Amino acid sequence: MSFDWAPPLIGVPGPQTPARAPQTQPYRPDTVADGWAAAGFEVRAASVRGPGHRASGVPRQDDFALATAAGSVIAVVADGVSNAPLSHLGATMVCRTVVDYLQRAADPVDWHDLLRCAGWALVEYAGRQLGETDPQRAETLLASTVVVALVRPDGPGRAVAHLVRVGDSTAWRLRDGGWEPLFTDPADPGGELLPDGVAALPRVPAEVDPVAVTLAADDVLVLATDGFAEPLGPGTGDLGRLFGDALTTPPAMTRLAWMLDFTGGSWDDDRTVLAVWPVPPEPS
Amino acid sequence: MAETAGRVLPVYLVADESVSMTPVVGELNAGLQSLHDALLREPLAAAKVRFSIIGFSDDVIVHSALSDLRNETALPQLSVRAGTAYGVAFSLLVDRIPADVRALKREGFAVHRPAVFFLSDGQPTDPGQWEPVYAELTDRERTPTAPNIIACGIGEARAETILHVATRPEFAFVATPGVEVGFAIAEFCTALTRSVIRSGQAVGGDTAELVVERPDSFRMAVDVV
Repeated sequence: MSFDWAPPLIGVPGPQTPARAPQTQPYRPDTVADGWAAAGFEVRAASVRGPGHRASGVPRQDDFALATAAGSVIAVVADGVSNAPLSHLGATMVCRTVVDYLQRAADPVDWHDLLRCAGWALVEYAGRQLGETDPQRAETLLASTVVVALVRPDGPGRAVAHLVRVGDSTAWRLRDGGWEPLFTDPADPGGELLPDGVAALPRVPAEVDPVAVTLAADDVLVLATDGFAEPLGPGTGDLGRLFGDALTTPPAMTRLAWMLDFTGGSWDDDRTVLAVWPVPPEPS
Repeated sequence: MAETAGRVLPVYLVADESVSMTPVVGELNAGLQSLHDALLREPLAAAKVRFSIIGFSDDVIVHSALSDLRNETALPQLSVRAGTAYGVAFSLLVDRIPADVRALKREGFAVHRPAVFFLSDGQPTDPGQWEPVYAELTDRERTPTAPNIIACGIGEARAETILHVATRPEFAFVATPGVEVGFAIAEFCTALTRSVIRSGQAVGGDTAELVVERPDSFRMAVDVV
């Protein structure tokens, strides 16, 4: 058996540099992949350190978490802000706090409170573990974006997802190979330049309105960090086709991680993709 | 083009080439050489930066237009000429920055807000003339691609002038009196290199509210990550 393990090339070849060991504790793997099937859903997720952090020995600042709660799927993707030195821990704290909150949340969910709790986890961690009691120091050290989806069944093979986010991590409904963005992208309101900074926890917008989206059979809900979203663009290029084809049905977990290790151009950020499929019940 | 080609940060070094720079221009050129060497050692960082070198005196010279330093074998040398007319430098940037940003976007790049590193060792010789041009350059209504300006004053440059030129107070650097000017230039070049190589995003200072009180419903999910 032979397989070409070279990562997919998107666009022109970029600089090649070796992956350096992260100079931080605790241990944090370069790549993680996960997936499972629960009643009515399949999920896959992978998070891969980008060439930039590999070259400079910085740990992967992206993270994700997956869980089930009362027949629903909880999906969280977070991206530690690059100039916050411990933001990889921030991203992980945010993911775990969101899961913990949603697993015990009443219906309807108080989305603003959810994000405030996720932000507070950073403040409390900075105080307890780092001795930094000023919330602004928590922001400087641990800031992280987040995108959250709570996906509930809505009849056989169908689902309704509610999503909130802080920052530029984002989500799509993938339908017939087309990437339908679920959030308006602040990076591209016809503006001339990229925004000067990224919104991130522990800052929370004054108003939080969840986006609601229905998932029919064959639809896929995809969450991702900007390390994937930016090269994806509107999804009509090579990367959009590669993932659009591969995510038609749940792929092998390692295949998703392999695809996410794509190279090319100056794309060097960490990248994370999490996908949820509503699955029709087996005919009995 | 469906996919963008990546992110780039346009960086303009705008250096004073007045006669008074004579004793230190060699050190400034050496600093630029170190910047170039550092970028060549960091190809991933270099891929995200476009660099231009502009010298001003009574007039302004574009020593190198905005380019990818990985493709340059050597950087041009700054020299010394006559006065210190800030206005000619800002006037050039008013034309050049929007055109450069348009060109990069045509190539498919997403463009960060440009950064100007401004270095002067003297008071402007065109008082009353440079200020309106500066205002146009930095007004984001009139110039949507208005740059962040990091200003460094050495020698005779006064702190209030450098503070005026910098687009934020924390972007103004004035060499401490008594510090050798050559040393200040070396510091400036080191800071320039560091900023250019770490062109990562800053935390957004937007309107979202910092969480400063523990929400009642909060529970620590894990004690240690």
